[in-house]
Parts: sequence; structure tokens; C-alpha cells
Amino acid sequence: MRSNTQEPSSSLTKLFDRWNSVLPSWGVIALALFVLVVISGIALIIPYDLNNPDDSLQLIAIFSFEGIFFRSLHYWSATLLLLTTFIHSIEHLSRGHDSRLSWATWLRVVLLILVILFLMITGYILKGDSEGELARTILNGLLATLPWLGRTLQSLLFGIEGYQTIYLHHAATATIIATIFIVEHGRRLWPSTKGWLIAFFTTLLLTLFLPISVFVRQPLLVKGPWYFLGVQELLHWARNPLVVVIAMALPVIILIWLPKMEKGVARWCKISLVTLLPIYLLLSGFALFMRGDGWQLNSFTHLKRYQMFGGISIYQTGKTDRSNNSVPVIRGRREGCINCHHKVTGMVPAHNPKVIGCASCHLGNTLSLVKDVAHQGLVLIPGNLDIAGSTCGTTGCHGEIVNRVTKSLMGTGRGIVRANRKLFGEQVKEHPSLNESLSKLGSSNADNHLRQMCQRCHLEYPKNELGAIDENSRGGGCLACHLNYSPSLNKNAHPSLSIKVSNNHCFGCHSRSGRISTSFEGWHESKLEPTEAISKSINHRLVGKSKRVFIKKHADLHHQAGMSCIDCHTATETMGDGNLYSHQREQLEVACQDCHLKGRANSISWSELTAEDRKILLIRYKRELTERRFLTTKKNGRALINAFVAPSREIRLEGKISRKLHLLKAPGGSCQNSQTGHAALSCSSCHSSWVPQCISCHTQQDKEGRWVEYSGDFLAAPPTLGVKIGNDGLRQIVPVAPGMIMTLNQNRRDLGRSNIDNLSQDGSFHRRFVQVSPHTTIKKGRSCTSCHCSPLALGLGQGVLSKGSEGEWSFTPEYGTLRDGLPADSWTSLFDKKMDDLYMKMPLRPLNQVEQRRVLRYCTK
Amino acid sequence: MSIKRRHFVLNSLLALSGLILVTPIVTLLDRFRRHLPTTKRSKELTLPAVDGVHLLDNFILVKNGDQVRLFSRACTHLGCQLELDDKLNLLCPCHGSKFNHQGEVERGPAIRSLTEFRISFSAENSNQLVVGDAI
Repeated sequence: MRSNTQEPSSSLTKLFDRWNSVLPSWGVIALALFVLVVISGIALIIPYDLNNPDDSLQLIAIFSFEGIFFRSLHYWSATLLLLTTFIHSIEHLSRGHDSRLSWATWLRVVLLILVILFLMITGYILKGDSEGELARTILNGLLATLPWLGRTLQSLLFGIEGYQTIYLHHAATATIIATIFIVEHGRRLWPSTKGWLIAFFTTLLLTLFLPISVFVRQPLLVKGPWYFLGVQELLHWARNPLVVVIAMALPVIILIWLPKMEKGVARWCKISLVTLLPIYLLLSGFALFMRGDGWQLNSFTHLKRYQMFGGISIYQTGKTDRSNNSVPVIRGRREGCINCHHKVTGMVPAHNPKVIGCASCHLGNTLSLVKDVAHQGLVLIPGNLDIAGSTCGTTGCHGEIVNRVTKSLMGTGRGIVRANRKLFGEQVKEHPSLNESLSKLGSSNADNHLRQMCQRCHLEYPKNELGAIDENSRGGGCLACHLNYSPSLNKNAHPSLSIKVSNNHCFGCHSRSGRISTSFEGWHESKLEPTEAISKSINHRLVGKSKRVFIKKHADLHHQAGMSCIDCHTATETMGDGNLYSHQREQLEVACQDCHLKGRANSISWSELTAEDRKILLIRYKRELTERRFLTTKKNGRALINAFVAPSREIRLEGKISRKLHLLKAPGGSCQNSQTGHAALSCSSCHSSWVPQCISCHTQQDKEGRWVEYSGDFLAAPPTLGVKIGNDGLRQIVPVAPGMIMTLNQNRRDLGRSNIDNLSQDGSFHRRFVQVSPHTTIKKGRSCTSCHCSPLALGLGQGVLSKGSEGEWSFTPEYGTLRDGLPADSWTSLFDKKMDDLYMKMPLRPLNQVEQRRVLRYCTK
Repeated sequence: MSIKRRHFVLNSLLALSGLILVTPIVTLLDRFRRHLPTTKRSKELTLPAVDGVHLLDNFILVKNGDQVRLFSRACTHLGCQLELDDKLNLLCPCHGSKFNHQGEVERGPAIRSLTEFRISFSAENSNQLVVGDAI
């Protein structure tokens, strides 16, 4: 024991002296706060349910503004108690009181600080939510680093499961020990009136204006209580947690030993301790403000989500009879929404609000029965992909699918982004990336072009207004395909979200560009003005707000048979399979031959289906279809869940929506035993009746930087034939159409004074033909002459192909030549070695000289 | 001297009484601790439809065609449950450890790889996984 020597007065003690001359000492304020903590704690005994702590706090939030008040009072008085305890300790150290007390008394003073910290952290765990549970996991993890006693201390201090141990310590053991130590230390039981008033009214103000709500944790980020944030940050850096345990224990050991130290050493230690405190606070501030998801540096952006204070509005609680415990528990949490919206109907059984509530999709504040409070943070249209991760894709729902969709071609429009950048001569990496998306466009010319012309046609584009999906709709995430409005929509009817994906869902986007949807239904876009279309004519159809005029053509055989888009197209090829593809043909998995089988069917049984496939079938049929054997795709062996071998050995396809049964026929005789030279023909090269083709267009930026498109003629004609060399080196004849025959002018200019012909003279010229899937299937294949005598089929374009008296062929094109010397609608020219050389190494090329001659040899016109 | 000796004897007896009390308490606590219930793990899991990494309860399932591996979801640093971010990284929300889909540490503070479990397929249903012992 050292003698009672007076510490030299420092600027710190002067500061404390000045405070004490006007206001009660920090110790007295701390004592008042402790009394307040105890009183508010006692008030929480009855509403707090030890067996279901999280739920009891939720009920408090819904029904009891007194409960919210006392919980907030408890929180704020405890927080201020910890702060004042620290300040009080610094005052003690600066005045050298450590050297005046007996060592045993000093030891109890230091222990008191630890007991208060223990009370704080047990209170945090007693919230009983996943955040509190993680705090316990971490503390137990830290204790586990201690040899021998670690595991026992875990069970003794925090318990492994349940809240009995912690509650006992929080409400009894630690509180009693703290009370004894405080009374011994302060030598008084009650604070002074002034101290009480300051403590009470400061806490009251904070309680009233910053009441605490029931915190909903974000999956990727958990932050401990503010006083442990510094430790959390240190734990991020320390590879061995024991180092942090020692670092935390060191100041405590120094404090305990302080009275036993030499005066000089003690002073040095005190200065170090007092300096460490602001460093620790800085570290905590850094952790609070700068740490984002996965504890990565992410300044401030996440703070909005890290809300624990509900604002003064949460004091408005429901006026419902509180004895009637009527708020339902949905997915593990109380949800007050249902109390008002219980009449909502129209959802499919899996989305029944009684099962998944409202907030699973629409978010908002579930713990309130007051409209304005409950609707805070509400998402009106939850299916948009920017929010789908927290709504449709939330844990336990469709997370896996949302993840796939956000990587898919339809989700991102990646194929278009890459092709467009290539066209503009911008760099495109070999492997596709997540950043190649129509919603993550940059500021290059290529991206500006897409932003103006194509950005809406992908699922990431948000749906911003309520209403059904129609032919004007674009984007809308999950809703684009799954939203279904019922015709009898009354006040309480909610549109359903179902697996009934009709052709109309696809139409908005797919009636453009390749125009698959319109071709499938037998409509060809014309350049007619809406006024020119004969009104109510069955041969004309006006599409969309812009009233594009379509003319009746031959509809696809499958459409005539009553099939819809999703009868062929599978879930994984539309929503993606989780892989990043850069081209549609990579993501597509079905082919004609998967249903129109040449030989034995590849099929699998019910039990071999994936869980997702079985789930979809169970939703559709409400029973296990064990009697069926499901056909699989040749490409990747995935099941076609509506195409199957029936017990009668017949191979059938059942309409996913219509439930209509179709007999799947084998390819015709001439397909199965193809004539010489026809073996390489793909099904659609023969069985397509027409394909929409756009001849010559021009894209130009005007003075303001807006992109303007001019199109040439639209043509509906049988497709051109191209030669595709597959990755395996195999040669296949496929249908081809002009992808773009266009001039791209990236210089801004005054369009008013120019005409298209002039514009075509500058800018870059592109002539690209692409493989198409026309979706205009006919039963009987094309006639011999439609290939063997057709300049269009050969890739020469429209015109007259004639045979001279010497037997030599000549071609007179219908269109004039463009900058590359070819007619406006040509892909190649007749018997031209230059063209053979030009296309030689391309994976898709026109017929070469030899092939042209071979085809024309059989022209018997 | 006699007073000092008396103090020494009394203090020794005091220490002895403490030791007699504390030692059995520690052993008693330790014995009971071993019988405390531990977090229950589901023993059967449904195999997800598509390839990739999936969070299933306390497990992380990585499926790549026919290859399926099952890891514990507890971070090897201090035991927090790992989560998946939108780039499919396995992240610890507490201290920022990052693991790859082979369960190896990509970024600290964790040092050890994730615990991996043996798995077998249920006899009745090939889509049902049975969780075995840790490897």
C-alpha cells in the first residue's frame, strides 16, 4: 500500500473541478442512471418472456407504447451509465484516487466496471434475435480460446442455448453484485436531487426522440453494440482471437495493479490508458461508419439499412384490444399487416398471406398496427430485380432462382450489350461478366446507344406502375412473366404470382427485334401507318401504344395446335442456370429433336427429376406423376417436364397451361432417311415458312446526341440458308436472316438537313447475317425450288436468278449496291471467290461457290 | 512472530477452504456442461436442382454436376453463420472472413478451412442427402 500522496493537478482535474463546481459529479449522475436502469428493468420483467424473448419484444412494439418507452429508457439509461462510468473512472485516475483506496476496495471498483459491461452485453443478448445470438456465439468463441476454464466459463456466463443463465445473471447475480459494489464505492444509496434530475431528463429526451425498435438484421452484416465495435474491428485484423482477448485483459490487469505500482510507472500507465480510450473510440467509429457487407470498407452507404432507432413515430401503437393476442406469427415474426389486410384474396396457395404474410414481399414495418408507421419502407412493386433479393429471393423463398435470373441473358441483356459494344468497335473481354448488363451501362457511344434504344427490354428494367403485363410492358423482374391479374379485380383482390406464364407475358419484349412472339402467332410487321390498316380487319393488327401495324401471315404450327411459349421453353433456359452466357444459343437447351425423336426416347423417372422440377409439377397437378417417364434434352440431359412417355408407350406433350395433350410425332420419312446432301440440314432450315427481315437501316446520332434509327423495307420471306460450323467442327445448314445491314454514324449531326442516302456515305458500314429460329414452323418442308432456285435462299438477296443458254447462271439484284459493293439485301454474291475468302474462317458463313453450284444443279425450274 | 505465524496458518486455511470449494465447482460445471444440449443439425437435406453454392440451414452445399460437397456454415474464426453475397462469395457477416466454394479461406481473419461433412444419398430418394460425420 502506498501512502496518500496528492497527484499533481493536471488540466484534466481542473476540467473536472470546473464541472463539479456547477453540476453534480459524474459519480452521482452515474448512480442516478443506475437507479433508472434498475427501475426501467423492473418495468420490463412482466412483458419480457424468457422463453420467447424476440417475440415478446415484438409484441411490446406492436401493442404497448409504455413497453417501448421502458425498453428505450432501459437502453438509454444503460448506455449513459456506461459512458458516465468511463468518465467517472477517468476522473478517479486523474485525481490519483487509486492510491488512496485499499487495494481490495480498488479491485472491487475495477470489477464494477467489468460487471457493468457484462450487464450491458447480457442485455444485448437477451434481445433474443439473431444479432444477439451472434454476439453470444462470438463471446463464447473468445472464451473458448482460454485454456482449461474457457468451455466452463462459456456455460457459466452466457450459456450455450436458451436464456435462463443469461437472464439470471442480468437480472440478479450481476445486478446484485453491481449494487453492492456501487453502494460500497459511493457510500450512498440515493443520488442527489440535482444528479437525479440531470440523469432523468437527459435519458427521457433520448427515450422520447430516439426510441429503439425491434431490429431486423441484414444477412451480410452484423455489428455488435457500440462499445464492442472496436473489439469487433480488432477481431477482423487478428488472425488469432486469443491476441484480442489478451489485449482486452491487459488494461484491466494494469488497472487492478495500479495501486501496487511505483509512482512513475503508475503515472505512465494511466497516461497510456487514458490515451487508449480515444483510440478505441476512433476504432469503433471506423467500424460503425466505414464497414459494410462482409465487413468490407463501404463508407456510409449501408448506414440506412443499419437502423435500430425507429423515430418518434413508433410510439403510435395499435388501438386493438391488447389482451387479445391477435397479431399472427408469420415466418417466425409477428406481422401486423394481416390485421388490416386480412381480406386480401387472389394469391396462389403458396403465396397465401396467411402463410407468407404481406411483408415477405412488400417489406414495411410489420410491428405496427398504425398505417403510416406500418407502411414505412414499404415496397409497392416487389418483383423488380433491384429489390428481389430481399423480397421474392429472400431466404427460404426463391433466392436461388433470383440469383440465376440476375445472371441470365434475359435478366441482364448481356448478349445485346456485348454485341453492341463489338459493333461500335469497343473492347469486349473474352469471358462474360456480371457487369455487362443493360442496367450497368457506361457512358461510351455504344452504351449510350443501348440506353436510348434497348434498355427497357431486359428483366432488370423496373416496373414502375401497377397494372397487368400487356403488349406495352417491358422489364419488371419476376413480375414480367409471373404477374397475373384476374379479370374480376375487386377492392380486395391482389394479382396472383404464379407459374402460369402466358404468351402475352413474352409478347411485350419479344414482339420486337427478332419478333419471335409475333411471328409465332403469324403476324408480320409492316411499314403501314396505323391509318392505312383496315380497321377491324382480321388481316391487320395494331400492336402497342405506338400502333405498329402487323399483317397476317402463316402462324407457327405449334401455335395453331394450341401450344404456348413455355410448352417448349424450360425454366432453366429462360431464367438461366446460374452460368454466365454471352449468347442466346449457349443458354438455350431445347431443340426440335428433343420431342420429335428419331430413335428411342431418353427419359427419366419421377424420382430422378430435380427438386425444382418436382415442385413445379406438384403445383400443377397436385400429385406425383410417377406413371410418366419424362423426356430429357439432348444438350444437357435436363428434363422436359411436360413431355413424357405415357404408360401406353406413346410419347406425348401436355400443354403447361392448357393441359391439352399432343402426340409427339417422329420426323417425316424424308427427314429420317435424308437424300444425299440433305443430312446437314437443320429442321428449321426446311420447316420455316417465313422470317421477318429488315433490309438496310441506318443509325445516327443527332445534334443533341439522341440516336435515331431509319429502317429500310420489311420483308417476310423464307429464310436464307447459311453454313454453321459447330465447336465440334460439324457442318450444319441453318436458317439465317439479316441481323444488320447498316451504317452506323457515331458523329453527331444535324439530321434536318440530310437525307438517309447522304448519311450512309460516312460512318461505319456493317453487313451481318445471323442464325435465326423463325418460329413459323410448317408441317411440310419447303419446296425444292424454294431452296434450289431461290436467290434469297442462296444469300444473294431478292432479284432474278436466270440460266443462260450456255447453262451459266446469272443474277440481277432488285436492290442497288451499298458501300461494300453488294446489293442492299445480299449476304454474298454468285460464284465469287472473294466472298469465299472473306467468310472462310467465320463460324457462320454463306454457301461458297462449290455449294452454290451444287444447290443450283438441282434447280429444275 | 507468533502473530505472523498465526496469520500464515489462518491465511493458508482460508486458501484451502477456497480450493476445496472452487475445485469441485469447476469439475461439477464441466461435467454438466458436457450434457448440455447443443445446436441441433438437420440430418437430411434436399439436393437443390441446379449447380452452384446453396445455404441450407447450418450447411453450405456446393453442387457441380454429380459432385456434391457439404460444409458447415459456421465460420472457423469465431463461429458466425456465413452468408452468400450477390457475387456468390461466402462471407462472414461478423469479421469479414471469406471462403471459396472448396471451403478454403480466401481472406482472413479465419485461418482454418470450413469443416466438411461426409454425405450419402437416401435409399428411397436420390434427391435426399444424409449428413454424415465431419471429415
